[in-house]
Amino acid sequence: MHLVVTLIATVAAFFVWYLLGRKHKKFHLEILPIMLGAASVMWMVDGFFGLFGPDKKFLGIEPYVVENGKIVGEASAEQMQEFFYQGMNDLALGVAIIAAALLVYAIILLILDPLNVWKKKKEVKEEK
Amino acid sequence: MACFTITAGEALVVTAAQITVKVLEHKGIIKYETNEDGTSKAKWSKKLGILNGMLWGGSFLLALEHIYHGEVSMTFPFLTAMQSAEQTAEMLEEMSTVGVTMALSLTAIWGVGLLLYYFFKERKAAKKAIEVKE
Repeated sequence: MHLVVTLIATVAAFFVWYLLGRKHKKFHLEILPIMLGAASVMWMVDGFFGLFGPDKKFLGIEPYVVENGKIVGEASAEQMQEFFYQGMNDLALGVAIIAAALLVYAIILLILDPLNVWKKKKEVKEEK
Repeated sequence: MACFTITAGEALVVTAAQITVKVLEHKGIIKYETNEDGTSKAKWSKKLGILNGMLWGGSFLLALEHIYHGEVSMTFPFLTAMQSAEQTAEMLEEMSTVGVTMALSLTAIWGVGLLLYYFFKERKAAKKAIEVKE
């Protein structure tokens, strides 16, 4: 589920960069799609290994039961409930990952200081 | 388990390469021609910076996921899979398969991106040349 959330965030970040990136170069809008896109690719690779491995699952919450590397049938109501909670847990992880990516972007912006806020403050202090 | 360490390792190597290229560019050892419109061509340090961003960004977010799943601990040896020999062997196998594929796929995507960049740039230049001739 965190892969789906990250993919959606990547597409959104990509469109923001595509529409505003050239106009606002100093804000480095390419950072977010690069970061989130790379993580999405890495999770997709992980998912493919899971799909073709003994788990036989891409997202990990598919509603079927796997035993000894073989799909043995559909999940029961109880197992479905378990998958649902697992999915919700994963969804929360996806949101936390996007929040972390935004935090990293904010820190990078603070360091780069595209609007020269720190520089201006320093100049005012020096003038005083 | 620890697949992100492979991409983090590659990120370290690429960072070193980027710094070296940047120093060489600064010293004028690596020179770039300017475009017809006077703008400078994209520097290699910038191109490597994109790969760096992909590798560091991806590794960081995957590390967070591993922390969330309890696969990374804050105490030595930092990876919970290193507590037993069996788990360590499993971890090393995952690193050599999943981790290496992750690193290769990210590098391949970056390479394809570079190829597309050059392809569209050449096409644009060719179009401009035809327009000038006409």
